[in-house]
Amino acid sequence: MKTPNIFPAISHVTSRIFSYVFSYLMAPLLAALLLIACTDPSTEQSTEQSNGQNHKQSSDKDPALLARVALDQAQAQYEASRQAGYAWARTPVLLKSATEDFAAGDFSGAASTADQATRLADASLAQAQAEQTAWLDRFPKTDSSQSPLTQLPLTTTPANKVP
Amino acid sequence: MFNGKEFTMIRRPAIAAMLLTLSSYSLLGYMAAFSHKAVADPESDRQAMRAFYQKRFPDIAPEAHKDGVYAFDENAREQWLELEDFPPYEIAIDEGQELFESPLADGSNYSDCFGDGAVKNQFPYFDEQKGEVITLELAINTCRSQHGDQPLPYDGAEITRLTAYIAFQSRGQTIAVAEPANEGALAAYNDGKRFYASRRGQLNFACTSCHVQLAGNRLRAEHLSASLGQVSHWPAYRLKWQDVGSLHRRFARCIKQVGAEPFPAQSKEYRNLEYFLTYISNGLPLNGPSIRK
Repeated sequence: MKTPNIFPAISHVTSRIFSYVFSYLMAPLLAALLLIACTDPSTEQSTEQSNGQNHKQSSDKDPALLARVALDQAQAQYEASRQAGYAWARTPVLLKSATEDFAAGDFSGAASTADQATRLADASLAQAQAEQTAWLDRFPKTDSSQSPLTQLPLTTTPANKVP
Repeated sequence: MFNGKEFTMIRRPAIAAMLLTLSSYSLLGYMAAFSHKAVADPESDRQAMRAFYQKRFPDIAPEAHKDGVYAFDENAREQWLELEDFPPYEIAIDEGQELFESPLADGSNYSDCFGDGAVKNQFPYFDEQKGEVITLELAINTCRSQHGDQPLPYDGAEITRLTAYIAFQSRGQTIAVAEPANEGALAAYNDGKRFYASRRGQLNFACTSCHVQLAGNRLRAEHLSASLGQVSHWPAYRLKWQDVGSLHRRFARCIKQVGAEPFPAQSKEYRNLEYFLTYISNGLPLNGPSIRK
């Protein structure tokens, strides 16, 4: 009885397994390793250190300067949100309060309030960015089956009939 | 080392994955292009809006939305009609008529620009030469400038009285804004449309949140009106203001209520918004001035 030659079949299966493993597991892994290798940890560390030192130096140096920087940043972000047409009403109120704190010599209060204003302005800018395309889905379409608009049901009272 | 056949075998799934990704991106691109194209058709928008509200309020004709919430809230409508017996905006109309007939700097008056004042249905329109939307308020100030007078402040009482008189003279006319045809008009229309549907302010609300998605529901004690007819009855005497105020003053109030910074009256943003809202209300009768809470 002749033994069947199973080597070509084994070879075929092995090479298929190898090709799938290489394509779906090894290649992304290698790419990830390459990316990690390209990042120089010493650079990151030194940047963090230098930022920390700068922050420490400025705060040690002059609280007024720190507050001024925070105020300028808040003002710039607020202007950007106004330019985008998405400024929030609370931001100028906080800016005014921060400016008054600064004028009164309360630099830490001014910096803190200015930071709040910056965060609000940042959020309004994020809203402006999101609304670039999001608004498109908020209108009824001619063919209602294509409309992603959610028509919320009347929940409070049924539409009263008016004679 | 791999031979040629093995290389082909290794690359085949990768190529398939790449092709799949590329075709997905192409499909997304086509979908995006299609949706942008759908935006630029004002008449389809108008029809879709009417169909939407017809479906939502099956017992109410689209034209009835000229009365805002009083089209579907019977109790509020009764109170409103009683107020209309002795309307608080009457004084504004009388004062507006007086102003309308008063001489301008060169001795002429507003009738040289607006005839008998029944012109509200001609506004707003897109002026191709100026490249902007012209509202009635802008036309009043242009008229004043042409006759040697200083323009009026847009949030002042005088211009609101004049528009109250013109609105009263124009009662019963039908809103008939020409379909935005050229590039500039279409851009202004789409700008207004985008404004209406964009979420803004700290509360992250769009006009459509209340007046499309939630139209007919209550916000605290008040019903939310439909977008159709939101421009038909201005200027209006608001009980909250204890005075007659403009549509743009109402826009500003809405914007402020959602925590956004309002734009000035007659800003480009509000004029484009008015242009969009008036176009989708085409076919509805003008019934200003009116009373609102």
